[in-house]
Amino acid sequence: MDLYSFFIYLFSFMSIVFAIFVIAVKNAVHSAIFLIFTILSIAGIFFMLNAEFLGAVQILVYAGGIMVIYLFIIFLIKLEEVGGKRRNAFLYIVSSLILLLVAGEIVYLLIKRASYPFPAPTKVLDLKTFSDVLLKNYVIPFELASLLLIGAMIATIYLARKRT
Amino acid sequence: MNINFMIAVGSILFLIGILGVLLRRNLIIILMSIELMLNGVNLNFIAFADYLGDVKGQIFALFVIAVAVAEAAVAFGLIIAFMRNKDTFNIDDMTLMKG
Repeated sequence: MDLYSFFIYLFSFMSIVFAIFVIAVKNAVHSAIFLIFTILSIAGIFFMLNAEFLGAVQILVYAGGIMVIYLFIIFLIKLEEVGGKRRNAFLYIVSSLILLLVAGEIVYLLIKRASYPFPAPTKVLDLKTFSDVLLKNYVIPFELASLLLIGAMIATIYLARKRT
Repeated sequence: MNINFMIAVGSILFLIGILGVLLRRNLIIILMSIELMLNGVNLNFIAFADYLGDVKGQIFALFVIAVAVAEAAVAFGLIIAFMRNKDTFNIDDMTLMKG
């Protein structure tokens, strides 16, 4: 196994283990910290898969922006143990079915190892090609994303303002 | 790089997100599980962009990240507005609309 495959397997294993910790620990702050580790591992996979810009965006925006928002939510509200009655049996049955289905699909994928008739990679995935395609062919979705972000900002200020 | 392995990792992350949404009662952890599901989808986009040598997958992953930021911000406002009215964030108590 060369170094490239070793890092891909390492980051994949780390992201899955930390993601299991995210939904398994009781404390919400610990859950947020484990989610940061998951996101950093996924950013490592992005770096391995020729997506350097998206790896950097993943670290800056996810681990630096979104997780700060989540930690602010946790700090602003009173952190309590969420107890209450347990989930009913129906949800456990549904989630076990989903688990079995997806686990079967994953085992099938890992066993099959077929070669799909996809075209061979022709273009190089560097940052120049990325910015060319983004700002020439996809400029209208790019501007719509900025509209979406400013709409979300106005909605957040409206919802979280002090009502008098 | 085996494409089946990357699809498997993305599916496992998506599956963990689904289980978190279904099984946890804490609203914050449910939102974090949604972020996990979005990351699993992003991993599939990036893996296929690398496999096919096509840069469009990376562009769609960038848009998914932008939508995730907007979702987190709106969830922040909604949670603050909800906490003003009821002093809990257990989703079993959010039954004002008989959901």
